[in-house]
Parts: sequence; structure tokens; C-alpha cells
Amino acid sequence: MDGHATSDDCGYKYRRMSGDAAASIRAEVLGSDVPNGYTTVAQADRIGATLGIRPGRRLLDLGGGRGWPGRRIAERTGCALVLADLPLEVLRAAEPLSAGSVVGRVCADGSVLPFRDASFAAVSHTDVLC
Amino acid sequence: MLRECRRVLEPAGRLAVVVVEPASGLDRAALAEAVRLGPSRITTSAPIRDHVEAAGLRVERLEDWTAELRELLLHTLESMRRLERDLRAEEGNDGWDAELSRKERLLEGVEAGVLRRTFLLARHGASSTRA
Repeated sequence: MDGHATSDDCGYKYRRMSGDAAASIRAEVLGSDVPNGYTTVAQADRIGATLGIRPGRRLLDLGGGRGWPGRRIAERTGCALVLADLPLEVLRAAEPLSAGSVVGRVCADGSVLPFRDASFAAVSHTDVLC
Repeated sequence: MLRECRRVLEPAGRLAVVVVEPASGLDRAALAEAVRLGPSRITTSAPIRDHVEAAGLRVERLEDWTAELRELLLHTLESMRRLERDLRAEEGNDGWDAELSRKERLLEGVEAGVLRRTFLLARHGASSTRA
């Protein structure tokens, strides 16, 4: 694929539209106030269902920022979520999941992932750099 | 990035990708329009499906989510204009202008038929069968 994300690209993506009025629009339009792309709650649920991930298995949400849609998928399926993105401040802002799931936050470039081979049951990659 | 996704997936693992990309079958002028109107790092070298398959993943499902994106953009733009004063205060005038313009361009690209939003589900595996 052409195009390569930088930390500045990603940081800008999350800094824009980060206030209360913007959050109210996302809550109204997407059903979620987490700033990340164009994935609605219904679409997040569809992604989770098609991934077929089970409780306790590991999901990597690549470019998942503050946790959308990975957090929703983890809360619905009970899988263990790992968020990977470039801006550290965004990963730190990811809210904890409800009981039963674990959040790992990893500052990483998608082209060189710091994980062992075959370490995830599923990977989601939605609206990265949209 | 997609090869890294394949590497970290278990042998039966699945990858879900959602991406805004150029519509299929565009001529050179329409592709240039997709680049002008689309996301800043839109992939133009090939459809996402080809990139996923080239990474050694087997595509199981491909869906067009463009209609949902259009509805979402229309709704978002309507809400942004309604809350313009608050958003200008939060984002600054330049930020407001840039965000409104970005979403208007994306909607224009969708309505012109040069941009689409694709959902793709793939499974770890070397071979591939086109749908």
C-alpha cells in the first residue's frame, strides 16, 4: 500500500474535533464519542461478529487510538484488546474496558509491529488516516 | 503494514479492514479527483483487496459501506453547521474551516462516485479465491 503514517499525522488526526461539541456530534451520528474515523456502533458490532473472536482471545486494533472500534468489540465479545497507534498521548487517553477484558496499549508503527508471530486471533484496521 | 498483520495473526486468524479508497474502474482523471477529494493518504496503487491478497491473506468477504458513509457525512455536516459557534470556539476558525472542508470534499467524492468505503474480511492463508 502507498502511504505511511507518521506520529504527527496521527496526532493531528486525534487532536482535531476533540472538544465537547465535537464529541456530542459523534455521539449523535456514530453512537460513540470516541474520536476515530467513520465506524458506527452497528458497524463495530458487525466487524466484531465477522471476526468471530471469542472471550479471552487477543484482538489487535491497529490505529485504534483511544479505542474505537476495538473497545466496543472487546466489550461485546469478551476478547482481550491490544491497541496499537503512534501518538502516545492518544493511547494514554484510552478509557478502561468493562470487567472481563484487558487493554494493552502499545506505541507502534504498523509497518514494524513489536509482537511475536501468530500472537493474535484477530486484527482490526479501520479508517487509519482518514 | 498488511504483511505485519499477517505475521502477527494466528494460522486461522482473521483481519478486518475498513478503508476509504478510490472506486473501481476509474480513468486517470477520475482517479485524480478521488485523490483530491479523499483522505490525505488514500491508497491509489491498487484496490485494498489486491493489497490484502498480496500480503498473503485470503479474502472471505468484501462489502461496500459507501451508502452508510454518505448518510453519516450528511448527518455530521448538518450537525457541524448547527453547532458552528461552539465548534469554532473549540477548534478555532482555521480548524473549523479545515474540518468542514475535509468532510465536504469526502461527501463530494462519494456523491461523484469516485470514492467508496470498503469493508473487507480476510483470513490468514496463502491462497485466494475471487468472489
